[in-house]
Amino acid sequence: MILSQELHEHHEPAGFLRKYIFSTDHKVIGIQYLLTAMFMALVAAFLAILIRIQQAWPETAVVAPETYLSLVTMHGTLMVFFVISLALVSAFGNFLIPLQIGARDMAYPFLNMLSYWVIVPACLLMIASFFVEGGAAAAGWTAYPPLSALKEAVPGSGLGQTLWLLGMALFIASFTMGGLNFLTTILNLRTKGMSMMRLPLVVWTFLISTILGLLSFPALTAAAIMLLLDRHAGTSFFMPAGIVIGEKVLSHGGGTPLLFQHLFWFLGHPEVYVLVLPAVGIAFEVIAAFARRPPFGYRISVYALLVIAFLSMIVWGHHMFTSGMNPYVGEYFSTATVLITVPFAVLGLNLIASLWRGRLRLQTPMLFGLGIISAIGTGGLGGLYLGTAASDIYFHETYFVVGHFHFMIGTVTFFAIFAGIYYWFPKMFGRRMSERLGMIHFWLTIIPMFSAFILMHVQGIGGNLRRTYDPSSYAFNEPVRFMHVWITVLTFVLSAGQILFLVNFFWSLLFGRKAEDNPWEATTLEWSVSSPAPHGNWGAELPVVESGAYSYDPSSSDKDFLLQAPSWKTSQ
Amino acid sequence: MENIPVNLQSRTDRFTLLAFLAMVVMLFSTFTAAYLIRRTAPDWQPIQIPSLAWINSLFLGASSAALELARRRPVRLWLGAAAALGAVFLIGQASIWRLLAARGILLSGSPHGAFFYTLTAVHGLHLLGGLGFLLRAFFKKGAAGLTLCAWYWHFMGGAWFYILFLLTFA
Repeated sequence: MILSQELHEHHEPAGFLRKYIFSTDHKVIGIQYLLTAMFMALVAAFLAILIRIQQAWPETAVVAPETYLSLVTMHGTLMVFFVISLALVSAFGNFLIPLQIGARDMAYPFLNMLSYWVIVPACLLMIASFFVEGGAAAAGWTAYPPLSALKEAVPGSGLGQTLWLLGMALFIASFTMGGLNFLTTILNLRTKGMSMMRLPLVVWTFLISTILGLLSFPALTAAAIMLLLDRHAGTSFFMPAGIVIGEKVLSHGGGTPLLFQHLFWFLGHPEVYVLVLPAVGIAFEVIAAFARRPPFGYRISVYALLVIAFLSMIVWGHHMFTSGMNPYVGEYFSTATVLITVPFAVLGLNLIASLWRGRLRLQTPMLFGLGIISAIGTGGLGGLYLGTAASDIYFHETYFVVGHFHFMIGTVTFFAIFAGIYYWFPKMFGRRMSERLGMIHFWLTIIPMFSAFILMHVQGIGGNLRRTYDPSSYAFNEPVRFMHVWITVLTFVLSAGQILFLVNFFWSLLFGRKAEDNPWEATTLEWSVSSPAPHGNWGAELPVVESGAYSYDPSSSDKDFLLQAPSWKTSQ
Repeated sequence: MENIPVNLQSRTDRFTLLAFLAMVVMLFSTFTAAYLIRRTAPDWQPIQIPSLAWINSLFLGASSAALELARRRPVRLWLGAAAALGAVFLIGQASIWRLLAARGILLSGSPHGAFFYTLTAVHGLHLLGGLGFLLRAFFKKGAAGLTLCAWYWHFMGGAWFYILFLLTFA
């Protein structure tokens, strides 16, 4: 369905507040999301550093055991929902979708603004929970009952857990508003000539992640409602009988925490793909522009994305192999999980094949783009062992799992965020980032990240337990325990690299070289407009798309690319 | 919204509403799954759902019919009737809660009762939102968004019959 939009006078809002704070402009909202995610990343990274110090030098007891639980819980929660999801899906989605499909804004600009201003109190609630009595939530980012359902279980189960649930409720509300906007905008507001198969692949990934998120978040909503009732109204949806706290037997009975685990992972697993798919999309964009050729197998990649999306919704049980699940059920979840490797291998191979016979320009966005491919391959390999029930039962409680998911939803996604920032920074702010600092940042990111997470895999194979406050308390951790010190030192190196990134980001924001409209000589629609993109995006007339998203000609040595709407500029 | 012509806007809105309803389907599916699993536990004691629930259903059905009339031929009276009947339904639901509480069936204690309270509350909140939109349409005059209201309202009516069926027979 391709619909044209009517010519309309667009008034830029006057006044600082309407222009930058309570703006309904998708680009401003995207940048607001990005800055919020960057701030939350600093908080979550600080938690990670405390965790690492505790693991490397447990004798210093840098935090108390119950605080350690809070650190792990909040590091996971903040990173997954308030950093990666905000930066990859909300920030880039908001900034790119209307620009890349040739719309003036989202379908519901006010709803869009609301979705951002709902996320702000959610962030504040999460941060505030560190400072309430008992500290922040401590039941893991998965919020498993009974720890999350009993106010008296651990200190963090009290007010901290309540604030966690409220924060997540606001997050879900925000994601719903944002997601409906994305979905409607992509499907209904494409400009003339922008057929589905001409969409940039990153828009396809936003579309598919949004659908996944919208269909799976309600499961967590329902689970959270029942959890709240178990906590505050004395119901027993998830609470088994016979729990004793302080020599008092609780009156709960008949429920099962396993039910919550199923409901949580029905969201939790698709959520992983909500984060990873846009990362793959950004890899495709960047690699096309810097290999100077169309991505290999556009259509096949779209189909692979759809298959991945479908499969991701029916494999949640592989997070629960050690929960005493019926072996036949485990067999099914194993098979379905390993099946995902097929479409994912297609995506990976398409990404690699996109480099073939390209004329590579190794600038910073491209370095991170190549890093994404590498991280998908390396991290995905560990996934095979975890998706297979037989080996997962050994690995599940070890650092192997920690290493694996930090590769997939840590490294892959962060590389995509960096690739995206370096790539679209000129369009966001009208200035260029420093290439030299960017390259140093890349090497200071990829080396410690890969080393640290590969070491975690090794520790896992060695049997190092993953949910221990003090790894020295078990003799069998000893053979691989020294690696904790290495990983922590690598974490410090990684942090130093990120400081460099922040310096580059804010310095370039103020003093960077002025950017041309199309600094990377890319083809998608956003590069037609001036940098930074103006309010309303398209001036008087909407662009008319005449070709697919990637008209690169690697054989031409002169001008080797063609914008998607080549006649738009001259018509202005 | 300012930049989209009216006919396209309404098509876009309908699409968005359908996507939202898909989410509501997922929400109630999750509750259904939880219900079907929880009811196999040994402490499950089915409760008698008051017959008022069935009488109440008639009001919601009538409300949907009135809204459909109002949508086809813009008569404000029918719109008001739809909203009023919807409100009667919600008051009826609250009366069922009081009946159950009088019988000693509270949120805690009976798991079947807990599901009854939870599902009716979640459904009631959705209806309350719909009622807000109905009242807005009533006072705003003009039937631009009435089709959307009607789709949502009929859907929530259907959802109620589904919930009642689930809680009574499953």
